Amino acid sequence: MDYTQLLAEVQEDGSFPGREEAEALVVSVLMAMAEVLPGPQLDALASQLPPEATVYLRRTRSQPDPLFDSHLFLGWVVSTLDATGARDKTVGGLDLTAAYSGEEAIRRMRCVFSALKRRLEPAQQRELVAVLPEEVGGWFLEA
Amino acid sequence: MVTRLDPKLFDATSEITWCAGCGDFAILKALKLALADLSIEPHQALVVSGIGCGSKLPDYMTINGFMTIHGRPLPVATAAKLANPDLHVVVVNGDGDSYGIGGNHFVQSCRRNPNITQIVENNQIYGLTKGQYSPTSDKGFVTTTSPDGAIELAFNPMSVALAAGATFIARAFAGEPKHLAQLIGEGIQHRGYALIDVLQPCVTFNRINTYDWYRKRIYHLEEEAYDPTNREAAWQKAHEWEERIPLGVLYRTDELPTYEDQVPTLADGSPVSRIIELSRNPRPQQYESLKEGFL
Amino acid sequence: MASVVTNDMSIVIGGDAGQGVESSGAGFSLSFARAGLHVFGLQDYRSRIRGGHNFYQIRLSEEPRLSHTNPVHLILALTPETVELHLDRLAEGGAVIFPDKFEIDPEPLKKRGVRVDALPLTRIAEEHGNRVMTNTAALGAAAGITEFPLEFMESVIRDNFAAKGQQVVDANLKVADAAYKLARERYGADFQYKLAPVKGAPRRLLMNGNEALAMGALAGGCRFISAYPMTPATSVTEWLAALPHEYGVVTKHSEDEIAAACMAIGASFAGARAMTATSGGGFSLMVEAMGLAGMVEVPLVIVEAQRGGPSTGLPTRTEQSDLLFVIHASQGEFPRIVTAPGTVEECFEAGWRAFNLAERYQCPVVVMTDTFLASSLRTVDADAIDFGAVQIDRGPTLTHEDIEALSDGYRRFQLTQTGVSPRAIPGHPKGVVVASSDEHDETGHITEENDNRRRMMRKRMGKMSEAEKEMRPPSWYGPEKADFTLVCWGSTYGPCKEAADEINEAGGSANVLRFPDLWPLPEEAAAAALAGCRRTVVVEQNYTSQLARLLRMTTGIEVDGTLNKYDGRPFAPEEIVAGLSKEVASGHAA
Repeated sequence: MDYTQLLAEVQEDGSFPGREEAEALVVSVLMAMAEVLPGPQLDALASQLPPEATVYLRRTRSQPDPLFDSHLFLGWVVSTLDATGARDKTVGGLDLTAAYSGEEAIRRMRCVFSALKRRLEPAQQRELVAVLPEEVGGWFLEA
Repeated sequence: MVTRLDPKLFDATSEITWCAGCGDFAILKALKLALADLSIEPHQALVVSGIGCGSKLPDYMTINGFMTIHGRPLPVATAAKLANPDLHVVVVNGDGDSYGIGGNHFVQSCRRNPNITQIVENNQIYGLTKGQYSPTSDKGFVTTTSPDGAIELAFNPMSVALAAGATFIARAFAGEPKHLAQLIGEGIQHRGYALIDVLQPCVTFNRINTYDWYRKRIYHLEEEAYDPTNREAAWQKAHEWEERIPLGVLYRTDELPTYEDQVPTLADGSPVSRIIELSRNPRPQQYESLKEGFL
Repeated sequence: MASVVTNDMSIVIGGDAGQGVESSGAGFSLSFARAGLHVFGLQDYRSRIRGGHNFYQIRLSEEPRLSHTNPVHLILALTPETVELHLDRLAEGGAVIFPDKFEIDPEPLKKRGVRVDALPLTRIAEEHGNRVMTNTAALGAAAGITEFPLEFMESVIRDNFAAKGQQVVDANLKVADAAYKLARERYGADFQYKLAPVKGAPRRLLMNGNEALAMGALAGGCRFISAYPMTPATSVTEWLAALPHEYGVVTKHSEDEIAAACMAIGASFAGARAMTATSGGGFSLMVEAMGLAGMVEVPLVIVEAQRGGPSTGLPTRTEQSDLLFVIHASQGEFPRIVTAPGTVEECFEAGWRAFNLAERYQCPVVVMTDTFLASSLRTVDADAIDFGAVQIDRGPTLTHEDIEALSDGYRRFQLTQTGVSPRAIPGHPKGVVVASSDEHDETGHITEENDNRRRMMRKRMGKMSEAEKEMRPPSWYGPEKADFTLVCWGSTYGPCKEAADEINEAGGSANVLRFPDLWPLPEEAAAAALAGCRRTVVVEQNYTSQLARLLRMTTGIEVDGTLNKYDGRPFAPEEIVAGLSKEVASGHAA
């Protein structure tokens, strides 16, 4: 139940036309979290989330990569965005709208972060920010 | 990893044109870190690239850099190394640049074993030209130049490199930059040609091979009891792709001499050191005896 | 007997590919060179390993010769076909020597008044152990009939066969001796063309254009060559590869010509003097790389030894049909220098001068030769190859001390008055070098900004006006004023020079105007030279008269006529003379 609630919040916050887009976004943010959070913080986050969500917080490696930064975090989220337009008939290939991707990804991330923050105590939020890559922590705080 | 130099030494002020979230950011970071960790300073290294999104990497660094033409960084780098073996030479290019148009040089480099390191930014697509398929695109991949799905089997750089005699073959994932930096360091230290094929998501054009797609498949060879000096085992691993993709050093041998080791004319100087010397002290009499061959 | 002619004749050795005609011819040429004669050795062979006719033509003289001529006086025929093919060229009183096993129709020969000499050459060879020595027997016979002392041939036999062991040397010496004696006894008295050593002649080197070029490059400090074998350029690389290791030349037989050019660029970028050598087809593959060198201002020396095109064309034959291609090669516009030596001595100079030009202007320099110049052997005074005269001038290449003294940050593409920027060799902390094939700013980083683009184009192209000041004006040979001026470039210089001599000696009036540096063309000097001529005829080995077009393109002056030859065979002086006497408007020579 709470999972549906979570998705509904994100969908409204982000003004997404469909539930699927919200879900893809939530999944990508959670997977990115799983890439970067150390074990204890990952478990703490998982404990506050519905089981349908925690499945995306599982990871195979025991330790996160210490060089995982905001670029990579953004990368996981940007992957869910459609960044191409129509065929580019002058230069060839597909025209891209990737210029918007960064900003849009951050906007979307914040929707998910808002939803997460509602389920976390302030202390838990602070702990999370402390271990997230710097810029990501900033986006989290602003959400 | 104790960093000896400050990786910021390699930073540059150029505006980076990669899309937000591009896997190349991680490769750039890892390269800087690897060089810093080995205490290699910007003027002691040379990064040679081809053409493509990833080939702009030297432009974003403070380092000797040479952005050449599509498919051709390997011969340029190989010769730069021969001309001045003191330089640490690193080639950075994409999968199309290296395995497609540059395919011949790639295969030759594997058997030639020059003491250089090649990092291939393998995103299984053509990014700079906006979305066509590449030699490493999986069969069936739909793009503007493969509207009915790519017909050819994907190029397998691991098996080709192994078959062609490469002495250091590794694969990394841009989503794991520390591991990547480690492998780059190992590659640079390896005496001989080192290939590091980096699985690198193109977040704009490749909707299939995403961070998640790789994450679901990659595993680390060093977490299994794997011996990278075993060619047969390497051949097996080189063909894993669909469901499992091994990361790490697939194969290495330290028993073969480098190309430069075997060039007798490099014994007492290099082409660069010699012309510097000759321009100060030409010694024309050294050539007189060559006339005997025509008398 | 007709009067004796000493030291003025041509000998043809002909046979099938695979019969060793080339090495026999070269060896024979050397024996004459050692005797103090002037030698011009022309090869004619096919792009086949075995089978099909090929021949070696040796012209002997007491005067230096820059060309062959068509009439021959002695034909050594290793196949019956040789006789048929060359009979028309046989001069009055000439002889044909062939093994007695041949079935030759004697009628055509008798009709021409030719004495038919069948010597048991094969038998002599077999008697001493191997049929392959038929060649040696033929050469021995040739020496006998011309009464040329055998000792010179013997010294060459000893050198050439040393690697095959003393037994082989001895066998060949015996064969040569037996054939020599037989020929001299039977025919010596009747044969009017004689060869004799020239007393007091200076030491002369017998070498071809490729060897001279390679030697010049070495003397000029080249220590890196990357190349892919391609006729007729291969021997440039092979000569450098065979050098003693102490010279420190790194040679790389690359996987293809693209790699060859890119390697030379990489080595040059790193600070070495580097080159590549190829022919038209290989150059075609190098075109993109040439643009790279031009754009990143890396010195690059390319030797383009032209051959018969298009496509695979006539791989072993000569032509001058790449001129406009080389001048315009690669996309976009960037500076390049194109120079064309005309003689073996000039090839030596071109070898080292090319590097000075390449480093002074930091651009590609193409040295154009052709099969005729690259592979014909000529005797050159040993002193004409003057290592002491070689200059090594690196232009604005910075030494480590220079870089150390830099106060501002180093910018590889710094804007300067001449367009040439100080060039750091990578490796110094204050001299980090960045280069990009994309348009870039002074620091070498990529930018598309329009003001910068305009500045960079002017910078690079500005180098051409600087270089033009150094380009040699066309040079003259012959009387100052003449009825005809033979206008030429590259190896055609030799035949033109002799043609002019012939015309003038016969009472006519001709001189030669030759263009040694073709791009940037010294336009004022070219225009002035052409304007002063009465009738200009461009003599070149191509179909479309490329030099004539180039002259018109740059000076606006149209020449009066052209004489074109594009059958893969080099001009002989008499062909030029014949072509002129037809008052050629646009003639296609035989």
